[in-house]
Amino acid sequence: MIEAEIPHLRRYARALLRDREAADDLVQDTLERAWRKRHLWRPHGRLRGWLFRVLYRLYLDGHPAPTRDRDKLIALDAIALDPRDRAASNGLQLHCRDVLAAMDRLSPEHRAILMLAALEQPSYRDGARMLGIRVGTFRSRLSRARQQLNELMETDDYTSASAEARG
Amino acid sequence: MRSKNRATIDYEQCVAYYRAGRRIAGAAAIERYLTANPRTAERAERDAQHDLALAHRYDPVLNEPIPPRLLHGHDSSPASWLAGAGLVAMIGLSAAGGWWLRGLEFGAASPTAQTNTFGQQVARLSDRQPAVDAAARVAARPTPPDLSRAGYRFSGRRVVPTAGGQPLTAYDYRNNAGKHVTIYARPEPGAGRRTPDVISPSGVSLARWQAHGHDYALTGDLPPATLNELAEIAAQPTSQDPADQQTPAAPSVKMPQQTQAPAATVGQPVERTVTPRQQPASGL
Repeated sequence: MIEAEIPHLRRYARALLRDREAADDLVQDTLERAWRKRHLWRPHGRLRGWLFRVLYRLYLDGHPAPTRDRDKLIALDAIALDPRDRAASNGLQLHCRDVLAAMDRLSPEHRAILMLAALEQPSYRDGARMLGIRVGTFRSRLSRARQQLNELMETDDYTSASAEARG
Repeated sequence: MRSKNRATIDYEQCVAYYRAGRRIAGAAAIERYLTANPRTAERAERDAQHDLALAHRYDPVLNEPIPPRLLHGHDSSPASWLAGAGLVAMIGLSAAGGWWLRGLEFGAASPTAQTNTFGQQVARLSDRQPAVDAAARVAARPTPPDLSRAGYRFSGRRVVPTAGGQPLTAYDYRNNAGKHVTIYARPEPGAGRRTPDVISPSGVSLARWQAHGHDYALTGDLPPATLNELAEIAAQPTSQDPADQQTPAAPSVKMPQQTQAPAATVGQPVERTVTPRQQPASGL
C-alpha cells in the first residue's frame, strides 16, 4: 500500500528539487511526518492524497534548506542540458528545459501545482486534496500558474529573438 | 467560453484531451467545445505540451528501484513488524516496509534500528550544517553529557531545527587541540538505557545511545572508534542518577564500512560488527 505510493512521491519530489538525494530526503521526511501524524489520516481517504499533502507542506517549509546546494543543483541541471548536447536531445527535452527555466521564476506554490498537474494529472478535487487547499483555490491557482508560465516563456522567446536579431 | 458546454467541460479536461492525443473519454464533446473556443484550444494545446515535456523527463523515476532507506529502516524481518499488526490495521497503514513500524517495535530493536529517524536527521545536520536558532528553546532539555574525562569542554548549547521534525538540542564540545564534537539529543519518552553504537547513515559516522529518556548522537570529524569511545564516556551514568548505576552489558560496537558506498545507496546505514578492542583507540 505505502510502497506503491513511494515512486509517485519520489517523482514529484525529484521534479520539485531536481536532485536525487535531496528528493529522497524529502520523501523520507514525508514518510516520517506521515507516521508521526498518522492519527490525522482518515482510513477512508486516499493515501496518496494525504502523503502528497504532507510532502507539499514540507516542500514549502524549506526543502532543501541550503541555498548553496540549490544553486549547485540548478548549475548541474544546466550542464546536463548544455547547448552542445542539443544535437543529441529531442525536441521534448529541449522544450522541457525551457519550461523548467521558466518555472524557476515562479513561486514555489505555482511550481508545485504545475508539477502536480503535469505528473499526476489529478482532477480539481483530488489535486486540492493533495495540496490541502480548497477546490476553487486549486483551480484558480493552477490557472494563474499556467498563465504565468506561458507569459514567462513568451518573454524568454522574445528576449532570445531580440538577442539573435542584435547578434 | 460562454457556450452551453462550459458547464460540463473544464479547462484541465481540454489539456488532457491534447495530452492524450485527442483520444480520451468524451472526446467528441471536448472537441466541439474547443472548436467553439479556438483561443482556449490554443492555450490548452500549449499547456499540454508543457505537461508532456515534464512528464517525459520525470516519469522514468517511477521505474527506478526504491532506495531501501525509504522502505526499511532496520534489519527486522517482515514477521517482526507484523507483530504490530493490530496497530497497523487500526491506522490503515499496511506493512509495506519495516521502516514504518520502527516506532512500534522500538522496545525490541537496537539503536541502529532507528537510523532513518533520529540518526538520519543528525547525519543530515552534520553533513549540511543548517542554520541554527540559538535563541530557540525547548521545553525539556537534558543535562549536557560530561566529556571532561576525555578532555572535551562543554562550549555551548543550541537548538537546531530539522525539516518537518521536532528540533534537536545540540551540545558542542572542544578539547585543547581544537577538536570539536557535537552531541545531538531529542526526547524519546519511554526510552530505556542503551549503550553506544556507531552507525553511518548517509555516510556520516555517528555514535548513538539512549539514556534519561533521550536519544543521543555524537558526531565529529574523528574516526568511528574514537567517536564510540567518546560516546561511551558521555553515556556513563552520573552521580546524580543512581538509577543508571546499573551498568548494562558490554557494548557491541558497530563500525561503518570504510569503502565508499555507490551513489545509488548513499544514505543507507552500512555497517559491520566487530569486537570493541579490535579497533585501535585513535586518540581522543
